Amino acid sequence: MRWLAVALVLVPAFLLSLLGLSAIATVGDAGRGLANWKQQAFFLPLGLIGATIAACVPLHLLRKHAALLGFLVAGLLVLLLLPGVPESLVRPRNGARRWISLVVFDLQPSELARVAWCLLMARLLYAGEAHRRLSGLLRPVGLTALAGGLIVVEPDLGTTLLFVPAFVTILIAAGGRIRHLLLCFLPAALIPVLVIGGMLLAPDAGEARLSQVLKPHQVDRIVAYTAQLRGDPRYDDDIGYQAAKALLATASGGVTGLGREGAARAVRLSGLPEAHNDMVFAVLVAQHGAVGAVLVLGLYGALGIGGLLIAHLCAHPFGRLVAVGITTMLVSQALVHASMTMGLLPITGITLPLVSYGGSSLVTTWGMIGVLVSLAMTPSGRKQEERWDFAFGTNPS
Amino acid sequence: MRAGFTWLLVLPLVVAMARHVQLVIAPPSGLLTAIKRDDDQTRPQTEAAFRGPIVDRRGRPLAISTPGIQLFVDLVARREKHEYELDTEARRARFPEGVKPVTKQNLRLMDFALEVAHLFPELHMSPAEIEAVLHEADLKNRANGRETRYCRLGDVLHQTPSIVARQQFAKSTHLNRILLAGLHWKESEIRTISAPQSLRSLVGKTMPDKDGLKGRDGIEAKCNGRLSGTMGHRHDVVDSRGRRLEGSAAQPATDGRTVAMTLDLDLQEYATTELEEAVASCHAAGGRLMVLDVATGGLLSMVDVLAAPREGTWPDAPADGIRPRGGLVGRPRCISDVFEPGSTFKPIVWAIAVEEGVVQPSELIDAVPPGKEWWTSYGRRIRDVSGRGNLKWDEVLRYSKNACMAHVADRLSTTQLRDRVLDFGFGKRTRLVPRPEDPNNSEQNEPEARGLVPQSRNWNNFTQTSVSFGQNISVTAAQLLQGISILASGGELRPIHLVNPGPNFRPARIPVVSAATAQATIDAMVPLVQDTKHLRIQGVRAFGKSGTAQLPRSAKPEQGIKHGMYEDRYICSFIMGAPAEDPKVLVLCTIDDPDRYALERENLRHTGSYTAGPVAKKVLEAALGRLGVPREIANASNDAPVGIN
Repeated sequence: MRWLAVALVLVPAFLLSLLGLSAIATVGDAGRGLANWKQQAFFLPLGLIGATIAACVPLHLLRKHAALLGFLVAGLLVLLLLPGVPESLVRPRNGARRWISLVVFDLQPSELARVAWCLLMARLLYAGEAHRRLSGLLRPVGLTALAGGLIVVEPDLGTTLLFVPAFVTILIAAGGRIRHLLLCFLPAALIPVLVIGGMLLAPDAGEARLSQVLKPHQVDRIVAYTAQLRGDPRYDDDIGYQAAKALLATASGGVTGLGREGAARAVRLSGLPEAHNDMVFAVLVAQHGAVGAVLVLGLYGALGIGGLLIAHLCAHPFGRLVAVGITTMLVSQALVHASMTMGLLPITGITLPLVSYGGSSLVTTWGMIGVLVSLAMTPSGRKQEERWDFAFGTNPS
Repeated sequence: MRAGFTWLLVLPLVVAMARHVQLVIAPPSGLLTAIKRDDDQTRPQTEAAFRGPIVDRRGRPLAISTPGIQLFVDLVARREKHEYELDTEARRARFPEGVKPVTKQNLRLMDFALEVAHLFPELHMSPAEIEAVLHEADLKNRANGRETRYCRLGDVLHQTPSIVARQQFAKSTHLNRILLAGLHWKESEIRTISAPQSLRSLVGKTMPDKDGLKGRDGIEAKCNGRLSGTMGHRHDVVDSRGRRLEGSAAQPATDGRTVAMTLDLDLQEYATTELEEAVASCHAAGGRLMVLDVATGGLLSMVDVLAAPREGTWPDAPADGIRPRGGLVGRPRCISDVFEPGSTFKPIVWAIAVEEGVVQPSELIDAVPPGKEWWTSYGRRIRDVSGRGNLKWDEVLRYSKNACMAHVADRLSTTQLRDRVLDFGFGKRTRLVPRPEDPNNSEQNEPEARGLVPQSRNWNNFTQTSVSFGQNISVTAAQLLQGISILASGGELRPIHLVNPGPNFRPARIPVVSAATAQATIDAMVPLVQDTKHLRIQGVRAFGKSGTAQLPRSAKPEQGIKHGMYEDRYICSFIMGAPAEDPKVLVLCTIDDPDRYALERENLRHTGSYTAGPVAKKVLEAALGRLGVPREIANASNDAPVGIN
């Protein structure tokens, strides 16, 4: 069972990485950054090495040094925001300060922050039952707000939003009460539902109302997104351009796809922005069609099942929570990426883990895979601290 | 593992897969259209050709095309980039006190406007003006569903090397691209008219067309086909935004051909100055002046001056509603406005009478005795300024004797006179400005008047008499010049023209009268100039004829005024050429409505030879110099002007 879980994580992850290389090479054929796939191919072995190292780290060391890692990552995130930091170290790109230049490659601290946050949350929640009370949610919420706050001001809204599903699943896995979570998140979840619903029903009135509370570009994004949902093509050439092109590339793949050359041509002619990065799922689907979409989503499904299986098999509650957090992070990121490519969610600039171009993202994600493997390899025995085994079968809530 | 967790994972995956299946099997109609459109990514592209230049006879430019750029702002891109990526908080200090923006939104717009105004001062727009334009366009853009995404900024700018450098600067760095996000430019053509004001109505204007610029009026319109280049074509593979990715073999654009006019810029400016001075000194309403190269029929100069309306001016004084507004194009009155020529028309009738053999140049017209009044056979009183009588026919033009003209005209049949007048080109357009090359273009209004020659059925004895001394007939200055040019060119009609037809052009030579008759007429016109001190040109035997025609008066029934002629308002004209032996240059000058009383107060005379004559003489002298016509230097006085200095 343990080996099955490891296989369910490793095999999809490796296949997804290979698919990513293929997709990035396809974009390269379209005349955009031919060297990108070579760089990605260079980082893949580094990621595998990182995964191997992470897999060798014992569980107790992770638990012991989680806080240290948290402080380190927080320091890096603060460094990004500090004024006066030389541009040679932190170079803004497209107006965002997300990367620290390490000469050989650029480090994205928010990627590390996701791992650190999972470890810290698990450490916070595995011992004690304060989080089962409403007031006890303050500390995990505070930790999440701190991590999310440092990332959202970079600005990187997409990565920040990924903390939400991970927070919910970790809390549930740790035995948090569903009603408390509903109380916290339902109002927040209702706002976008109401806004989008209102915009769909009464676009003009909705836009006027939103203009009173949001910035113009934010209003534009919402208006464009809801227009796209309604099938209104007016914004396809400006604010809704990226979404429209992604939808076009996704739909033009058909059942079996356009093949490598066809996809390269489609990407080149459609002018799909960030095709190797934020829109890589559209490239995959254009190349491999519906078969490819099912394959990719299926591989993430398999990876998710593997991760949850590892969590189930993990004897230590800390490990279980870490596994749940990491798995949720990876799968939810993939789902959000695919959904925005297919027009189900607005464009927020989220990469497809293991597939999208990006060295530090690839290495970090493989590191997270390594942590999962490490958790799977933790010697089995009597489950420790059974009273906290709320999530899997014995949760008293 | 609880089922809930499994569902939490599986459900979104199923939703995503279902969505993809929907996109593949039943895509929304808009997406379907986009997919179909995406299949054809080749676009035929055209390359604009520059319009050919219009130059004078010596190749000096009158209208030329230069490359320009039209700045425009992509409103959406400006909002997007600028608002996302530019931290403008720290830039507030750049704004002068008192105009600091209140909101961030305003700050960003002002920042953009400040940058654009600073980078392109040629726009002559202040940051506030740019901001106002963009703000208004932004409001429209939001109001009408983004149908107007682009906003034009100012006029087309000349693409100087400096502007090219600034264009590159605007796209050179990331910061610049952010600061000036949304600022784009389109290459365009600028038509610069360097012709003097007096020629602008003739050169005309252009207007934007789908293929570039198109002539709207004047030579620009008439020679549009020759001036327009041939568009270049190529077939491009473009991306979804129409940006060129690759192109197939292309046919390059060919610029338009040069249109050379027969005009001489220097002479034009000289003639303009002289005519303006004459109009001012005569307190006149305006004036016209044309200079003709007799040998080719090409016009060397065509000037048309209108003075500011004066108090008590002729109510029907020529007016041009466009010119006072400083407009580029006014009415070319030399071809558009008709007038009664008066005595300047007499050489035409004189030549017709000789050609028809009803009179000989040396014949004594003893039927007209001395006196200022004479009665025709049908009882019409003819008045004259000169009281001389018993003149020979070749003296009639010298003394401009109406009675003699009427008497001899009486010997011609009405058909003879009318047909001959028509042969001289009166009552027909000279086609001085070429015919429109595109006859279907209804925008090209015909500016030239036909003039008025009475119909056969209306041509009676009264008309016959009146026409003999230039009344009851209306001509344009161009027609009159062309008519007299027949006499100056050995009796052949050489159609006058403004546009040089090319080196291989052989002008049409249509015989109208015999060479002997033509020369006799010219000889009969010599004494008027040679005997008049202020008209004589040293070293050259010139010829000429003056005219002082009364101006017509419109009927005003409410004031009890009937249609007729003013007693004290005239159009004075003088036609002059040289040398009389072999005429090379012909000059026609008219002065519209000189103020007779003002001139009399200054001890000056208001007649054609005193108002228009001196101008014609000066311009003729200058033109002879320009054409290099030799003069008898031995007889020339030291103070005689030769040419233009």
